[in-house]
Amino acid sequence: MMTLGIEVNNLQLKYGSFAAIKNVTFSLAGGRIYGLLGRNGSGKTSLLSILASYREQTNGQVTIGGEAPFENAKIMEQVCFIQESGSFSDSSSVSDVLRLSASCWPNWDSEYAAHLIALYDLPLKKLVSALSRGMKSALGVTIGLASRAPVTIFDEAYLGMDAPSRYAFYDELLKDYMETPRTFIISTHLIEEVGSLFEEVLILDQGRLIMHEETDVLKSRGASITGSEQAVDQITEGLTILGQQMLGRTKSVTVFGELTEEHRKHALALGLELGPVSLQDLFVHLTKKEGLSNEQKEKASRP
Amino acid sequence: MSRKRKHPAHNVASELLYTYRWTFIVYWIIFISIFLGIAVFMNTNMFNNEGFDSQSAWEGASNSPKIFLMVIGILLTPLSLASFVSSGVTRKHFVIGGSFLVTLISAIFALIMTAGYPIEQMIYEQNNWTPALKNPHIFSSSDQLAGIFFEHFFLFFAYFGSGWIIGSGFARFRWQLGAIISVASLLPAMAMEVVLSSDWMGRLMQNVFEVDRNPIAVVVVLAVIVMACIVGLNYLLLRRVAIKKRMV
Repeated sequence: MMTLGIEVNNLQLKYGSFAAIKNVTFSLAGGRIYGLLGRNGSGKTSLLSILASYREQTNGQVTIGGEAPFENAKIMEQVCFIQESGSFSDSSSVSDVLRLSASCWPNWDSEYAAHLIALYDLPLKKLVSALSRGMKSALGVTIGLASRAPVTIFDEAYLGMDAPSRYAFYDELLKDYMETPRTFIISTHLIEEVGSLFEEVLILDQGRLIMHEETDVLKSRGASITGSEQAVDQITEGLTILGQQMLGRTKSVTVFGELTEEHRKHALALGLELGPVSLQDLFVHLTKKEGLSNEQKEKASRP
Repeated sequence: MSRKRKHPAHNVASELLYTYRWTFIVYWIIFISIFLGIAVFMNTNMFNNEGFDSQSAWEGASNSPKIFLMVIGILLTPLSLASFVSSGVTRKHFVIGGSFLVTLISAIFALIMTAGYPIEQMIYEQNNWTPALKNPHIFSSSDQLAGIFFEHFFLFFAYFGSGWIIGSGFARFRWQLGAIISVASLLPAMAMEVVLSSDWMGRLMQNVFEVDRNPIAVVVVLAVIVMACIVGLNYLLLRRVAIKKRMV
């Protein structure tokens, strides 16, 4: 299957006088799984809507596979955008929605769709309006995966599912990605659950891209340091502390910024345990209002 | 996975037809049932034959499908555009496919209306009546089937298309501007009535303004121009419309 790269340059989107996307620039290679993170109102859905040609940008350029996607039939049929609320009429039945999808997506895999319908126990005769939130999510996920679109975007599409269904989705996504590599962009608030799937992470905050990194590199931007309170305080002096916890006399601190070799040696000499920082911790502290200053965010986003 | 695919516009028309198939079928079942009931009623000689003016009942019936198609037109964009764009179909192909649907459904409805006239004539003749047309038309009797078909086809297209513009206006703009557009959207339907100089508009033009109908070739050309304007207006409204989370 072909994979399509995405180029975004100085992208802006305004709703009247409100700027939802502010000069966002990034480049995504084809055939990878990307995580798009951001707080509510950070511009994630607006950005994804532009990629999927749901709306046109105010300024800047977007290309998918080297071509502008908006109203470009060749590109639009290669980009599948699934939102939690879905875009299907409530008066349609599940089978009608699947029929429409099968007729529109050029790479639609009917056998795979049937497998997912059975997996999620989708009631084909029910109207979309009669589906539970979880079933609507399952319908969206089924369409997204079975579309086999070279660029498949899930925008909180599985939020309504219960935990077993979500984990079934993560397994399916990974399995399908291994079998038929394509570009996945996953926007989510469930970072702990899905974070391990991401190969690269983009973080939006107030319409700006504040971070775009390989997941492993991003995780190495911080560290957790655990040990005796005195030793931990000694080693973390002068570092940016994202969070700390105490359990008896043991202290665990999450710091932001790459530890130098000198720090590491010193920490080990003091008997401290060093571990990676979780994606969620990094995200929370990068985007919280009283978190890093814009200057620090810019500094953090530089490799 | 290589399967023969329809052109996107063709696919839009097919899927819309599939979606609305029962709506159209049920409508005509109800419509024809009512007129069959009227025919049976008339055949039982419950009318006072001497007082009956033999006016064609079928002639006045064409208002119902016109309004019905306008309502379906209003729903077309709010119910379907988001589904198609989210399935990778361009707005342009949606408008082209929607126009195919409007053309096809208008033709089918016009055929049914055309078929009704000779049937009505047969019922009237059984009762020794001659069906009389109350309003001006591009046809002058029940056996001018081509004229009947084309007049109804043009009118149905115009009403269906005007409804579609109303729905597209509300999808494109805020409701305040949508409401203004909905009033202006009636203009294509009225323009078609004027071009065809038929029905109440024809009576108004011929009796009050003393304007005669253009030659039939000019009428056809003008009617096609009105149809093209309807499609063009819809495209102008929808070509850059943003897909919101859910319209309906």
